[in-house]
Amino acid sequence: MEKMGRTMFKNGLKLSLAAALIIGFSGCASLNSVSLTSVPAHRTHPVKTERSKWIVLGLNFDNDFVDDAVEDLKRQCPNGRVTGILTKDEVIAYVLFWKRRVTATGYCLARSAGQSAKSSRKSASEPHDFGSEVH
Amino acid sequence: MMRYLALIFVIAILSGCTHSLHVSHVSDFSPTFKPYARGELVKAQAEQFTVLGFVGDTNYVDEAYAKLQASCPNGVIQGITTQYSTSHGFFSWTNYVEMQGLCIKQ
Repeated sequence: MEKMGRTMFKNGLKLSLAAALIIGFSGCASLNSVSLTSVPAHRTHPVKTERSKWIVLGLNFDNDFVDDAVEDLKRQCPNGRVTGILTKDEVIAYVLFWKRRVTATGYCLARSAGQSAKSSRKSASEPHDFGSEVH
Repeated sequence: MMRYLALIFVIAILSGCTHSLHVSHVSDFSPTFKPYARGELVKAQAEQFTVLGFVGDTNYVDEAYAKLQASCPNGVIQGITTQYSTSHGFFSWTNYVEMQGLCIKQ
């Protein structure tokens, strides 16, 4: 009887340990914020960037990882304008640590040849006008 | 008396009783050189049900975005309001993302 009790206790312990491991290593995703800018009609050139940061016990001293996302979008669309940007700020939480992730997807609207010629006649300081979307 | 209390308890469990709005974002109205009156209101919504927060992704947001684009295939969508909210139930809740904007056909 005592032996059977011990076996049941051991099995229960193993089961609890397995459950704790599964819960500990499967992240729970939650959304902090979401935003969307004007969506263009021509959606032929999608761009996407994702940046993340691991945080242990909430010890986080800056949010600089987000700045890289902006730079990455600029790199993917050097001569155009990025619009229709869906930005997600989410957290994937584990037991004692979590991952902050920022994802931005959008569309690169390239300058047409006519607009390039027109804009080249403008002064360098004047912002480029993409007109009605830009096409 | 106990029956009434049990009934109230069951109703409280089965129905979401609180709702919270986390984010409400409005995008810009960039110039289209076309009257806004020609625009058509388009909406898209997606949701995610979760028990105790055990979900591994937030793909329902992308789903709402895809639906919004599908509702305005050949136009510019402007003045987009994006709302992210949650309706709470008993140890479970539903996250909602709702997007609506003005579709201006080209």
